[in-house]
Amino acid sequence: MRERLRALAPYVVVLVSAGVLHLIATRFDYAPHAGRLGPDIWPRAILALIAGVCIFRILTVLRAPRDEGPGGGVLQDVLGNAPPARDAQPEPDERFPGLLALGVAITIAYVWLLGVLGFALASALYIGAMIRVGRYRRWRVIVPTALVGSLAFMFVFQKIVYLSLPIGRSPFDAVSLALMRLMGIR
Amino acid sequence: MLEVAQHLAGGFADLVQPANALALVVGLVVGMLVAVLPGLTLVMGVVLALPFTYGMPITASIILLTAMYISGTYGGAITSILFRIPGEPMDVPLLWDGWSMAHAGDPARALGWTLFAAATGGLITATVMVTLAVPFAKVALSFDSPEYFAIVLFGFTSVVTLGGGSLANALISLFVGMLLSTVGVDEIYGVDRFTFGVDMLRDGIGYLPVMVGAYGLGEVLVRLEQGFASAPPSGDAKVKTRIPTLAEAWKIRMTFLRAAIVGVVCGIIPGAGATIASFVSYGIEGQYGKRRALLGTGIAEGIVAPQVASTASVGGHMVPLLTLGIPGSGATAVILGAFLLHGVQPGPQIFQTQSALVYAIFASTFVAVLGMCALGYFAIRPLVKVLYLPEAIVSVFVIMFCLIGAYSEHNNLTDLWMIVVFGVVGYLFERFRFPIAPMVLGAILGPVAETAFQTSMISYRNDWTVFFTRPVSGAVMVLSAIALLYPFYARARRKRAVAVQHP
Repeated sequence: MRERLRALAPYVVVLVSAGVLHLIATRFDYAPHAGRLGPDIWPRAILALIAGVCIFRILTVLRAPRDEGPGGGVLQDVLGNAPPARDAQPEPDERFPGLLALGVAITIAYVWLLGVLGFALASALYIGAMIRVGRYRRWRVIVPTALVGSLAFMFVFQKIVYLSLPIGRSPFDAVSLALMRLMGIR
Repeated sequence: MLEVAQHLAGGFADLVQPANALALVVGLVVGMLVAVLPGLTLVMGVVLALPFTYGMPITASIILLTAMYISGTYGGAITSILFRIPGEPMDVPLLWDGWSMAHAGDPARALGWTLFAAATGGLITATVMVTLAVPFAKVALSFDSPEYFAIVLFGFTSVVTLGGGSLANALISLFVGMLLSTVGVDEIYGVDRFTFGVDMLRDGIGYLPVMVGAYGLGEVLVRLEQGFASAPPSGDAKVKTRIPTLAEAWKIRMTFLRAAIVGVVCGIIPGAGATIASFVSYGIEGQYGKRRALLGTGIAEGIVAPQVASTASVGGHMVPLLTLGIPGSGATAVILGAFLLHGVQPGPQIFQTQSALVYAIFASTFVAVLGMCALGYFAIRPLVKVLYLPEAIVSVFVIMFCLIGAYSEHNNLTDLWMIVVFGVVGYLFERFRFPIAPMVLGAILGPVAETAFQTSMISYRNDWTVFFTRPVSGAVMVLSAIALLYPFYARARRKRAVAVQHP
C-alpha cells in the first residue's frame, strides 16, 4: 500500500496542479477576436495533455505499482542488442535526506542573507557551512577555503567582470566596502 | 564547395583573434576538467559557463561552449579507463573494454585507443557538419510555420522517446517545461498568463534559471543526498598514452565507420545524445563486429565504438541547431541559449546573416578536436589529479557559480530565488525519475512551438489539417506519431514474448 501511495504521489500532485492552472487559464483577461484561438488555447492544451498522462499513470500504478509503463530507449530497442543507457546511473546504496534538507535550508538562508550581510560575509559562511554539510570534516581546510573562496569570487566578479555584488545592510556594508577598498574595487 | 572552403578559411583566420583563441583554449581545458570530475556532468559544465558569456563577443562565446562540449566527450574516458569511474554516463561502455584492457596491464594502449577514437570521431563530425549544414539550411529556407511546428514537435517526441526510463515521466517533464514557457505576457495577444499579479513573472520565466537551477543546483542536491564521494579514487594511475599505429587502426576500420555513422545519425536526431550514441554503437559492435564474442574482455573495438560515436555525435547535434534552431541535446540547448542571449536566432537565415560566425564555429571545431588530443596526451597527469579534490568542496563552488551566474543576468537577487526553486524542482525530478532534459527543451522550444502553431492557425484560418496536408510537415508529423507510438508497440511485443515463454 505504502509503495503504491509513494508511486502515485507525484502524479496526483501534478494532476491537481494542472487542474488548478487549467481553471486559472480559463480566466485569462482578454478581448476575443473573431477567428483567433486566444492566448489560453496553448496552455490549456498543454495542461490537458499533462492531465491525460497523469491519469494514465495513476491507472497504471493502481493496477501494478512497479510498472513504469511504456519506456523510452527506442533506438536501443530497435537495435535489440544495445544495452539500455539507463544503466549509466545506478541507484545509490545509501541516502542522506537530512543532509539534503540541511543543504536546501542553508542555500535558502544564503540567498536571504546576501542582502543583509553582503556577498563576502554571506558567501564565506555559506561555503564553509556547505562543505561541512557535505561531510567534509577538516576545519583547517574548510575555514581557509571559505575565506579565500569568498574573496576570490568577489575579486573576480567585481574587479574583473565588473559585476555589482550585494554589499549588505548597515553595519555589514562597512565590511564589504572595506574589502572592496582593499582589493581596489571602485 | 569552393565557396564553403573560402568561408571556412575565413573562419580559421577568425580563430587567430586573441578572444577567440583564448575562448577555445579555456573551453577545451574546462570541458575536460568537468568531464573528468565524476560529480559534474558535461551539460552542467556548459550551463555554468553560459553566464560568463554575457560580456563576451558572440563568436568567442559559442567557440567556448562548443570547445567545452567537444572535449567533454573525451575527458571522462580517462577516468573510466584508469579508475573505473565514468566521468559522464556516455563513458560507461568504456568501463567494459577500456578498464578491462587497463586492468590487464595495458592502460597506455587503452588510453591511446580512446584518444585516437576521439580524434577520428571529432574530425569526421567536423567534416560532416561543414558538409551537411549548408544543404540543410537551403532546404529549411522553404519551410513555413506548419513545417516548423511539425519539426519542433518531432524534436519533442524524439527527446521523449529516445531517452531511457518512463515515457510518461518524460512527457510530463516536457509539458512542464512547455508550460513554464507560457508564463508572462503573451507575445501575440499581450495578455498576462500565470503571472498571479507578480511583476517579476510578467517578463516570463527565462530558460537560464530553469537550466542552471535544474542541471546545476539540482544535480548537486542529488549528489548531496547520496553523501558525496568522500574517498579519493583507488587504482594505479599509470598515466601514459600509447597511440595505436595506422596499421592497427586500419584493421578495425569497419568499427570506426559504423561508430562514426551511428554518432552522426544519433547527433542529428533530436534527443539521441552522446550517451545514447555511445551505448548504441557498443551494441552494434556486439551485433556486427568481427570479434564480437570477445567484446567486454578488453579489446580495441570495445573502446573505439563508444568513443568514436560519442564524439561524432557533437557535429550531428550542431547541424539542426544551426540550420533549424532546434537543439537536440542538453548541451546544444545551452549553446542555443548563448545564441539567443546575444540576440542571434539560429535557423536557415544564419548563413546569410551571420556567415562569419558560423564558419568560425566550424573552424573552431576542427581546431578543438586537435587541441583536445594534444591536451589529452600531454596534460593527462594534472587532469587526473583533479579527481583527488574532495567532492564537497567542488560542489559548493559549482553552486556558487550557478548563483552568481544567474545573478549576473539582471543584477537582481530575485533571480537567485528562481535558481533555488528550480534546483529543488531538478532534485525532485531526479529523485522521482523524471528526466530533466525534456523540461529544459520544453522551456526553450515551447515559445517556438506556440508561435509556429498560432501563426499557422492565423495564416490558414484555423485549419488544423494544414499540419498533415503539406508534404514536409505531414511526413514529419507521421514520424512524430510513430516515435510516440513505438514504445507502446514495443511494450505489447515484449508482453507477448513473455506470455509465450511462460504460458
